[in-house]
Amino acid sequence: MKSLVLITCLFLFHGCIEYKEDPLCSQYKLLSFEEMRKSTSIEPPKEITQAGKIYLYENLLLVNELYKGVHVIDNSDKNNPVSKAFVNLPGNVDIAVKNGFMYVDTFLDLVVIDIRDLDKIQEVNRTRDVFNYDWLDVMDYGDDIIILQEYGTSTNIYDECNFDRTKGIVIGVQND
Amino acid sequence: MINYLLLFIATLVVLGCGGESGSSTGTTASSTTTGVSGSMARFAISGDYLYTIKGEQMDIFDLSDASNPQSASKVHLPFNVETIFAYKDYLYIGASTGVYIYDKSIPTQPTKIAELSHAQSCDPIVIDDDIAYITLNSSSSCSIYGDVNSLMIVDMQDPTTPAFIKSVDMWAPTGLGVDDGKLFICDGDSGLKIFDINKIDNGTSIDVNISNIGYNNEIDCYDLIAHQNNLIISNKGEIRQYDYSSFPMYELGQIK
Repeated sequence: MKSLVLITCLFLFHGCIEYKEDPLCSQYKLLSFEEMRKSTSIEPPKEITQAGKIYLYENLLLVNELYKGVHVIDNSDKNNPVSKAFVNLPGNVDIAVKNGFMYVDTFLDLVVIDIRDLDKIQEVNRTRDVFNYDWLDVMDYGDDIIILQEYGTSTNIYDECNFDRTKGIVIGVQND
Repeated sequence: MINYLLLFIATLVVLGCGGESGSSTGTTASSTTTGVSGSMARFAISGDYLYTIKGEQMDIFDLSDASNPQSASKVHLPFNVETIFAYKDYLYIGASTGVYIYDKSIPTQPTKIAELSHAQSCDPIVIDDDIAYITLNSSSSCSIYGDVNSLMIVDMQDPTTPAFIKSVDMWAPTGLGVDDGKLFICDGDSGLKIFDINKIDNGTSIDVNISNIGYNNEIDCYDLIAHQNNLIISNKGEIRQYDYSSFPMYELGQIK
């Protein structure tokens, strides 16, 4: 697993080679922005495992899956809500909707998802590089990774480990 | 209890006013539909603008073309912020150190007009009928020194001079919502609490009494939305919803 991470970051982060010797740095899991942008996708409904923020838009209930995306739920029949899709959005925590367009964050980008027709949910717009992404305090990104950095603290793993901020983000540590 | 009250009164700091308060923006609400967020939101839509807060930065996007947001401006915020609530011409921003009120009569240039300081804690805020309800929670990660768990009620008739009304002790409150004279609070291990709101205008000041009309400690509750008799509760693992057109509420379909 560690070698995989090293290989990944050899491609994505030119500074990676330098921290190879440092076990503290090599434990971090990285996500390139290129990979992040490619992975926005509309997927079949999923079970809610860690609900974040919630948003009600007309008969739709939108539920953030913490740092992973948005569950789109048809709540027209409140006795029988039906999950219609999962929008995969790495780093997502926030949701807002206007006129059938859903605004969501994915780390540093603002993405617009057209949810007017639940059979044709799609990404229609992306504003790149607008958000600070090092606001994250505690991160739980799946089963094998935990924590990250604290906002505004002196600990700066990007500088310490020579990670290139312009290319990607540290999304956690390997838990093995 | 009196000490707590004094603490709150003493820490209620109001800055001098400034900005363009009073002028209303003619928002064209007729063709616009937006939704309702839980109280923990960091995105808020008001009129044709989306306000987002991340860390110490507010980003404002022009949504005149809803499918194609345009970055309109950025505002540096003095503290690490957690929640945003848009009400009338104002933005209410909850931070770990207090609530900051911004006048957004010029939508792309929100100006800070007042601030409510209090013990360090997380503090989602909701406003209804010019009254703000703010929960203070000492057990969360935002709290470093604070040991206060309470609901704070503040008169926001004039947002440039928020007037503290009272605080009510809570267990460990987080998300909250207000609708149709009812206040819903997620209160940690105490579960969900529901209050009737009774607002009394004394002529010179406003008093607000809340009376508990229901609680359910079986309901694990972190954040909620109360909207048109539909209560939606998130407890991190699952979403439950209730109908509050009558009490006791009855449960609607669960979402997994």
